Amino acid sequence: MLIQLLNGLVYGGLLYVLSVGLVLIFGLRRVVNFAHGSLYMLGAYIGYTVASLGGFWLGLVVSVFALTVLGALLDRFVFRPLQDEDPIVTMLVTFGLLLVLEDAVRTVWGKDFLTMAPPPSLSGVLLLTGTNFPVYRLAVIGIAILVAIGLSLWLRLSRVGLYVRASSVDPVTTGMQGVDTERLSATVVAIGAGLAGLSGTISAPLVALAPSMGGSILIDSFVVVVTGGLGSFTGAFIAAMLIGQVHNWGVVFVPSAAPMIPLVLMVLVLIWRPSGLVRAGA
Amino acid sequence: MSAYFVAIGIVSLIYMLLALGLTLQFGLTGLINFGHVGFFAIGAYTSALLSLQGVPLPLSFLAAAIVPGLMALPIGLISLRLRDDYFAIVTLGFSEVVRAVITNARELTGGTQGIPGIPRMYPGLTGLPAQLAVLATVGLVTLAAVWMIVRIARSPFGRMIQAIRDNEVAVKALGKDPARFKVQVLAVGAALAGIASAFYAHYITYIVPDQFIPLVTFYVWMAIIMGGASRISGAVLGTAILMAFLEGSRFVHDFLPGVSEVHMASVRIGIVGLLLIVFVIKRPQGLMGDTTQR
Repeated sequence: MLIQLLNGLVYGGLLYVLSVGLVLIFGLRRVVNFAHGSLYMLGAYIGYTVASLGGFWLGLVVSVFALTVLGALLDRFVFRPLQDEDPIVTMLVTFGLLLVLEDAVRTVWGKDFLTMAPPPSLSGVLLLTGTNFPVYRLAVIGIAILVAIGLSLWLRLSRVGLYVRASSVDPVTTGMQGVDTERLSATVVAIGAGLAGLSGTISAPLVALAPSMGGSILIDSFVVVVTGGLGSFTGAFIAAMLIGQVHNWGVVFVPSAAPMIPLVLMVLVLIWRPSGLVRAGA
Repeated sequence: MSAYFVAIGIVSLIYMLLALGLTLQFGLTGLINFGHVGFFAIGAYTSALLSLQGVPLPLSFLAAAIVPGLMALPIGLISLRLRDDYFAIVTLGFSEVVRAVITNARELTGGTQGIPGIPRMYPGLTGLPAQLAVLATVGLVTLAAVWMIVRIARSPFGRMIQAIRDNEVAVKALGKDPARFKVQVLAVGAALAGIASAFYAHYITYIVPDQFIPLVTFYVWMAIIMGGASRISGAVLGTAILMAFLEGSRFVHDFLPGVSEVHMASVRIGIVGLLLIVFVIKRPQGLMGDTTQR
């Protein structure tokens, strides 16, 4: 029982770290980033390769750094030139990016499943209510909580966080107050992509790596973002925890219907509250 | 060699039917349907399962159109009142759910093993004549679909959906309910995808869940974006270019000895993605599009 609850928290945590990046990017650029799942996948692969050379922690750092840089490039060369276009245009472009990135990974790393070991310092198990629970999974929950706390503190207390919140409500007015919204957006997209990299790398020891891994979690993280209310950080957190649990209990009790349960939940929430659980500040 | 071209012709026409459905949904009405392949999958399994139970093919084809069309109704009713980007997400999720359900419902669909031995069209014919008969049938159906969409576009209903695409608020202000029109358009597009899928299932004679990945939806999007989404001729031309590219790149690897077949297949998908990006940015109205309009 407790074990299942914790497993749900692990998946919820991964989903949160991924979805909050989507929320950040949506808030600043009004873009539904379909390439986000492939950023997660790319993060996992980069983490895998670097970790096999220089250990898990180096892999984590390099992967987050590489994805942050990629995010900045993505903003500079895709989102910024397209910001005055129809949202459909940007959506289609991120769609195309998804194909290109998946393909690049398939070309470099191949189609076969890869597996990665957790770092030695976290590879033990802990006896919880009579069952062994991997310490690494607890660490993943810890990282997700740290990200949540860190992000809320940053958004609420720092000056840049204030600008981010202001800009996601009204970018034009924020720009008129002298905030460089272009640089701000680049920063935020970079952070969002970096978080996707973080999520990918910490998930790598838990799952088998395959180029298609981005697709399935992308759907779930969209479900999180939409259920929580597009653009809401609190909503994303609540929804991620909820979907994590629902997904996990679904896998345990009705494995054949598991993939559709989060989507059904999302539809029910949307019928009840068309703009999601938590209305965004905008 | 002629058999090869006939086979490509059949597959192209199937893609063209899919593209026509999307032209109606996106080009004329502005619906961002990222789950087209979901309806395609439902139609294929409907027709395959019915025909294996001994239902005559014309009836199973009809069912392949009706079932996805009906499936589109609840999806449309639920999601079309939401924002545009939510609709894209819901439809993409829908197509992945369809694939997951097909994969898991082993007793009915054979799971990942799929359904082999689906009856062919024209069992009395063999070899090239059979292929040509199929080609002619798909060709006629495609022509009928083109004719139908041209008629729809010029009808009052067609003007209404184009008005919804251009300015939904204005349509609401005139006292019309855009959601109702959108649901109808979604259902018609889904039915077209269903017919396309019946041809696909009975032509390939073997279906597995892996044939219904989102990549298929992307190919169709690629076709209508290249051709010009708001024009019916765009769907036709775009599909032709897409097929020429997909098939043509098979031959390219004969001239590039260092590149393996598998490698080429994956590079191809990347190039399709790149082309999509370039087209969307540089020529959003497509090749056949009206350059005076956005």
